[in-house]
Amino acid sequence: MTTLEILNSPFVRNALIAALIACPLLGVAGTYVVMKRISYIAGAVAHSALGGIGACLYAREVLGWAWADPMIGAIAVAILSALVIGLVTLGGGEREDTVIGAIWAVGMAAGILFIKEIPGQVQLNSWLFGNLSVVTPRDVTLVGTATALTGLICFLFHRQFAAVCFDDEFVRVRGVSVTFFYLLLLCLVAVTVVLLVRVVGVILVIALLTLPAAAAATWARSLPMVMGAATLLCVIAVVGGFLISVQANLVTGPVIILLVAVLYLAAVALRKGKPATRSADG
Amino acid sequence: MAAAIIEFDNVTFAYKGGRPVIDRASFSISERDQIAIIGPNAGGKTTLVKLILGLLTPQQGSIRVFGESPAETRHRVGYVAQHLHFDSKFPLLARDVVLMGRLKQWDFGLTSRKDREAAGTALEQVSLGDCAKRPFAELSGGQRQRVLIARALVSRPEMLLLDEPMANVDHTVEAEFRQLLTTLAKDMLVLVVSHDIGFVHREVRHVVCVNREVHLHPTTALDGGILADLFGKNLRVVRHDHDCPDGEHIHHDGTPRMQPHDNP
Repeated sequence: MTTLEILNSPFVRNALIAALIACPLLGVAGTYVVMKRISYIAGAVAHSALGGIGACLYAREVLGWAWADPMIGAIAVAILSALVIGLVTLGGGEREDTVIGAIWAVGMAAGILFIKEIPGQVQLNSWLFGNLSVVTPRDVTLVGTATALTGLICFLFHRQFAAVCFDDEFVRVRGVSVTFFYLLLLCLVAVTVVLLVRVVGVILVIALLTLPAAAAATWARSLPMVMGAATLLCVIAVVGGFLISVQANLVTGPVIILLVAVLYLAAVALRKGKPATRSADG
Repeated sequence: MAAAIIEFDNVTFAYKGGRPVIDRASFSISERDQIAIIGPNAGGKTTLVKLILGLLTPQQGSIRVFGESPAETRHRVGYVAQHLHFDSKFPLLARDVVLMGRLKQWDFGLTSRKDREAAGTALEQVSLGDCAKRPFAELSGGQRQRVLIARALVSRPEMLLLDEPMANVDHTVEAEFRQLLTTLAKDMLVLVVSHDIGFVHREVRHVVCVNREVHLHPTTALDGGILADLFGKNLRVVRHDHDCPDGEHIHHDGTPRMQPHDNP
């Protein structure tokens, strides 16, 4: 098959469209994640989503609940994990890294158990690392709706999100609820990380969230610039990853991730080449 | 007599399960003035600041700020924290940082023109009018501290509360800083926390001494006895008067201006 023929396959086209729709959201949410330094939280949330995926697949295939959609399950469990982690980190009582690690592993364990109990052809690997041939038009609609909703929330509250990431104590003094906006931000991150689960899988998605923003932040001077550049890098990685994987007959998800890593390294290398700006302590 | 701006009545505060950090503090400040809050490290200065802001609630006693509970009046206070745990590469322009001082719970979308104008004015107040569009991360320590003061000023506060503002500032710009605070103190109460007794200069007329106990003194009454009580040691107080000619005293960058007596 030629590249064009493969891109004409409805599944591949759906996957590409879904991935491109999600790019702006990955750019925006990824910027907050990198700036707030919570990529391990985003990682835990993404991995735990496998629990929701597994439960919904089991309910649909074994119990016959036709409405149980793995993507809905993924979003529900990801939001739940985000809220639990958020409340624990805000409370400061528990050892938060322990809780984050536990949610990470428990969600995956539950997902693996459910998926392994399903008779037939459900492939665990395709949920872990992505599988283009399972992306349906319904998924595209879901990704589009979720992107529109979360995009609107990001636009409305971008100042609160930036302030909470920059200096939450000052935000509290201003009488603005840090708890509310931090949890809302974590929910946005949760939705974002599961949107591309079909394409890149729960394990690899974290790189697509954080690396474009981290690369953009090496030179961009303001938050909107970082978000825009991160979105662009995301699009380059997704399109490039699709083309390369189709040409070379490789699995698409990992190729996208490796490409985004190359872009990140290139950005860091270019930055190193330039004269340093004033150091942090001025 | 004017209503008190800050009134502490027999206030005791301890962190969970610990000894009191602030013990039976009673004092009242009723004038717009420049006041220094001094005391040794870990003496409770930052705790006192957080009590004034209503971020902490005392176990005993009552605190009134502008005649109300501190949490209610927090928005009337401009606050500059001691440490800013921000990512040193955080991509924000100086103006974006200042605009955070206007943030409200339900501000939607883009900033208003009024907010942007207020941010410009606040930056001019701290002599950084031309830095609005420069990245915050690229400014010097002293410039950043002034941006943070502008962020506190942009909400037009009636009180300015600065926690160790000199800690991240080069000593060469200290005089400039004092000048700025003295100017601001004409319009509002300016409270400056410092572990450095050298901060108490001519324009500071009252000093709040904090070392578990809290006492308000006029600066004129500040002598070796009070300082020895406060810091628990016999101190040599270095007079810090910026009118004295160059060379008459030496400033060592980074060393405290307040040292225990070397004599036995």
